[in-house]
Amino acid sequence: MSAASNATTGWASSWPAASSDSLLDTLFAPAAPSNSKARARGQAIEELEDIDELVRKYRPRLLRFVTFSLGDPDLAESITQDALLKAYNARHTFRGDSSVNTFLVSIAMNLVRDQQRTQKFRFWRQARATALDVTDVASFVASRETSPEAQLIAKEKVERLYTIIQTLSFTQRTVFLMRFSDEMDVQEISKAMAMPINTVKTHLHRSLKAVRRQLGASQ
Amino acid sequence: MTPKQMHLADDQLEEILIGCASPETIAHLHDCTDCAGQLAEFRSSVADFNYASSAWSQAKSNALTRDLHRHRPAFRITAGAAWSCASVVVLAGAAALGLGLRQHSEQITASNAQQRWTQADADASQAVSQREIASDDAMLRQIDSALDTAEPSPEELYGIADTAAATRQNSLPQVKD
Repeated sequence: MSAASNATTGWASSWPAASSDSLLDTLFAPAAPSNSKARARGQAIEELEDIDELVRKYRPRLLRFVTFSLGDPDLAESITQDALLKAYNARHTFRGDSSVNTFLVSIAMNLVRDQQRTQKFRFWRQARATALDVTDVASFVASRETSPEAQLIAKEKVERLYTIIQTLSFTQRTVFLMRFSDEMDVQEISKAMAMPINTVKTHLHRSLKAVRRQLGASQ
Repeated sequence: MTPKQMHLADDQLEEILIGCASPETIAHLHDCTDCAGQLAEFRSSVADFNYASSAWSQAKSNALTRDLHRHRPAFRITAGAAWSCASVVVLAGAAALGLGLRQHSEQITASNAQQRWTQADADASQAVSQREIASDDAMLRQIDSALDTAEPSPEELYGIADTAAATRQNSLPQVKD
């Protein structure tokens, strides 16, 4: 069994038991807005109203997050599409307390969790038939380097970090990606994961320890 | 900060990365190149990963958008053109329907005439067959009467029956015992 498939063990058990819709209602139920909140909500609604702009602006970012959380690009594409459509349909329930990105990430997280509960996902998780090709991903970083040596080093760094991230538990990997790839702060991660801030910090500490230790060991 | 080495502990470095560090910890980074170097090394790996994964997902999204555009029709039909097309289709349909009905009625007329002709032919052929049957019956009656033994034969009528019998007897071959 690969390291990546080891890391996937027990994903579903680490999630809260509430359904995606009830969590969304809790997070984004309408409330009496203040002026600044109303402005932020208005801007966010404007972004959410234009489905083309929403897809253009947020799809790559959301796709990256879901892909590297799951390690399955095909499933990630499907979940990303669903998340964008669900966000567009639920735009009137958006309270404006968080950014559009946090709204989208939380929807995607709930979809991922729903997906993990199905028998089908358990089967495909075992099969890993459509696993992400990290060499393909790493080739993108090589294109910005000028010398062949720099290209090779950058490519190796990407491959190494990806391999290390895959050894983390699902929750640790998710909070790590939210913090360091999506650049979300602890409060935003807490909202998106429906998790207390201290729990998020604990997961971040554990993931950072594991990543830094393995990065140091491999250098 | 450990008093012995005067460097940041791992937890403190992690707090900086998480974004929850105290001002003293952040201030230490300005003076300590070792601690700053450790963070820079980690951030460099993460930056490379983010660049690659970002470019990859952007390329995937662009490919999907290209595919969607490729499957869209190259021209857009305006409302006026759509109405014109619809009316032409309706008119063509009505004309085709009218033509079809006319052809159908002509076909029915032709079919009726054909049926009448067929009936006349059948009647004529039935009459011919009745005549043939009658003539055949007459001929059969004549044969029957010719074969009927109750009526006198021409030999008997003219009284030459014995002569005719003797002639027939003499004409037979003679058998020797």
